Amino acid sequence: MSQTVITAENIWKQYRLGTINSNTFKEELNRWWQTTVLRKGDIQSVSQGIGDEDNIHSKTFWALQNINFEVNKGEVLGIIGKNGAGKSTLLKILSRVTKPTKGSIRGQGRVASLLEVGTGFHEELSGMENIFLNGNILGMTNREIREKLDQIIEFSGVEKFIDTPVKRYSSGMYVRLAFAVAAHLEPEILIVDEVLAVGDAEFQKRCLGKMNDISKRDGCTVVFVSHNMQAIQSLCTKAILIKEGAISSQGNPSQVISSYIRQSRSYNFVKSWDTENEAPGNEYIRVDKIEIKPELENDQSIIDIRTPLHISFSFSSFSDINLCVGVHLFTISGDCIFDVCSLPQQYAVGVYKGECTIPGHFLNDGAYYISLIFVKDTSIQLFYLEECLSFEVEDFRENFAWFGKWMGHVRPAFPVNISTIKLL
Amino acid sequence: MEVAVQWEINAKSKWLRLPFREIFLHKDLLFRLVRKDFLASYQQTILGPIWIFLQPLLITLTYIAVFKSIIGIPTGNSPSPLFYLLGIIIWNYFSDSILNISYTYTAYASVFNKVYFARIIVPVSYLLVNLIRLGIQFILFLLLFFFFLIRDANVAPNWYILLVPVCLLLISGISLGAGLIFASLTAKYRDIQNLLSFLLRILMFISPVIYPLAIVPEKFKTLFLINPLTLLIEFSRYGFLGSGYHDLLYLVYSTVFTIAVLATGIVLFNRRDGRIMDVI
Repeated sequence: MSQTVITAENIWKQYRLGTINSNTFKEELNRWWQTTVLRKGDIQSVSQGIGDEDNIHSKTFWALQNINFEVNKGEVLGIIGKNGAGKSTLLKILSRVTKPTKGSIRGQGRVASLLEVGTGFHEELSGMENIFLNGNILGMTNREIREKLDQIIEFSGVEKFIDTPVKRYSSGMYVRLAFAVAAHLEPEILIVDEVLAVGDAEFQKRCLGKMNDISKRDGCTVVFVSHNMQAIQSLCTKAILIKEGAISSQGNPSQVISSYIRQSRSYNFVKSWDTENEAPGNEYIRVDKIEIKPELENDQSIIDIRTPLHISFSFSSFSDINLCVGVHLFTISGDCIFDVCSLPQQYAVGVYKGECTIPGHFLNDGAYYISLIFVKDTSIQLFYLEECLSFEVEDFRENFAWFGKWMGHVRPAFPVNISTIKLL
Repeated sequence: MEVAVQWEINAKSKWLRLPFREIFLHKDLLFRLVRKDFLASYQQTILGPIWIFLQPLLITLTYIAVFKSIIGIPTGNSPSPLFYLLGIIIWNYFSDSILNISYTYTAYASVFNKVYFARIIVPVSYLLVNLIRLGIQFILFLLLFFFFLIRDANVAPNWYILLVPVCLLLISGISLGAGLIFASLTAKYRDIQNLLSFLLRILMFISPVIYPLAIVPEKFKTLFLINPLTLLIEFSRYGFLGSGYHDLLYLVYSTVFTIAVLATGIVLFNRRDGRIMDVI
C-alpha cells in the first residue's frame, strides 16, 4: 500500500575544480566555437566526461555517481557518509538548489527543504518580520504562518524581543527563532541537512525531539542527513551510505550504520611483530603480540556497549624476575578508566601469555586505548607499552527516546530499583 | 483526496517557460520581498521614506543649477523643474531596476544556495520595489505639474498622456529583460558588473534626460532614436508638457525592442537557472 514519493534515477553531478577566470572564459569560447560554429558534435556531452581523464573535463570532479534510490510515503530516509562524500550535494539536488548533471528525480508532494535554519533572515528587520520572511522563503503562505504565529513565537521563546531587529539578538535567540519557523513547516516531503549540528546540547535535544514528532506525523516523508548515528538509528526507517559520491550500502539503518562505522574507522585490534628486533621490549622482557577480540553476536558487526572484549597478549622473559603485568584502559582524551594487574609472580626465562576480559555492559560509548605495563618487584616500572591498541565502543539503546550523549566513562548495567513508598 | 503535486528534477532547463504561474504561486513571497526591501532600506534613518521624494528633488535642483544655469542647455519652452524631474524619475526607475536586478544572484546567493523557489521572483520583486518608488515620485511630479498648470506656465497636456502608462510598461519590460541578461552574465563573470554601471552612465548621456531631443543635430537623431529610451522619455514629456518627440511609429519599434529584450532575458535566465549555483 506504500506509495513511492521520491524516485531518484542515475543521478550524476559534476563540479568544476579551480577558480573561474579568464582561462575558463577562453575554454568556454573555444567550446562554443567548436560546437556551435564548427558544429563538431557535442563535446560537452556528459558521457565523454565520465572516466575519461584526459579530455577537457580533466579539471572536473564527479561529486555524485550513479545514485539510485526510492523513498516511500511516510518513510524517514537517513543519509550518512563522511564529510565530502556527497551527502550535501545530493540534498541540494533534491531540494532543487542545483541541478544534476545527468539523471532525474521524480516525486510527488510539496517539498520543503531545511538546509540551514534562518535562510534569508534580514539583520535589520524585526523578529516578527523575519518569521514571515523566512516562512515565505521556506514555502509557507501568509495564511499558514498567521495560523501558527502564536505557536512559533512561543516555541522560539523570544516573545519579548519580537519587535527588535534580529541583529540585536544573541546567536542563541537567533537560532531558536529560526528553528521555530522551520519546525512549523508542514510539507509532504521534508529535506533536512545537519541543522541539528548547531546550538547547544539543550537545543539539539529539542531539534531531535521535533524531528521525531515530524517523522511520526501522518504521511510526512523525511530525508535527513546527519552524523548523529543514534538519531539516524532511532528516527530512520531506511538509510543510505554514500562513499566517494556513490551509494555503498542502503537498506536497514542499523546495517547501513555498521557498514559505515566499519569502513570509516581503522582501529588497531591486533599488534604483532614479525622479528624479535622490531618487537618492543628491553633486556628483561619483550612483548610479542597483543590483541583484542570482541565477542560479537551473530548479527552484529560492530562493538557496542553490550560487547565483551577479550584482551590477550604474549611476552618473553629473559631473566628470572618477579613481575606484575598490568593493563591500563584510557579514554581517547586520556582519562584512565582502570588499571588492573596480575598478582606478583616469579617468571623464569620463557614465553608467557596473559588474558583479561572487559565485560559487556561495562564501558560507555566512546573511543578507548589500551596500554600494557610491566612492574618488577611490585615497585619498579620495567617496561611500559603505551597506546598499543585502540577501539571504539558504539552506543546501543533499546526503547529509549533520548538521543543525547550518555554521561560517564562507564555504563554498568546494574539496575536502579524504584519502589512505591506510599500512593497519595 | 487532494492530488499531490508531481515534480521532476533533471538536467534540462526549460528555456522558453514563461514564469507567470510560478510568480502567482509565490505571490506571498514576492510581496514579502518587496516589503523587506522597503523596510530594510529605511531602517535607522530619520527621514525614512521621505527620501523617495527628496532624492529626485535634490537631483532636479542640481541639474537645473548645473545644466541649465551654468552650462545653459535649453529645455525648450517647458518649465525646467518639470522637464528635469520627469526625465530623472523615469531614468532612475530604469537604471535602478537594471542595477538591482543585475545583482539578483550576488545579493541572494546565500538564499539560493539553501532554498528553492522560482528564481524569477527576486528580479520581479526588485522591479516592483522600483515601480512603487516610481509611483510615489510620480505623485510628486503630478503635484508640481498641477502647480505649473494652474500658474499657466508653458504646460500643454494632450491625449498622448494616455500613452504614458504604456511607455512606463515598456520601460519596465526593458529594465526587467536587460536586468535578467546582466544578472545571468554577471553571475559567472563579475567583470560585467563593472561594465554595467559604465554602460548605464553612457546611456544616460545619449538619452534625453538632461536635454531635449530637439537640440540633437538632425544627422544624429536616428542614432538617438535607436535607443528606445529616447522615445519613451520624449513621449512622456510630450504627453504632459506638450513639447517633445512623438512619432507613433517609433512606439511600435520600442514595443518590438522591449519584447526582444525581455524574451532574451527570460531565456538566458531560465537557461542559467539551476546551474548557476555551482559558479557563484
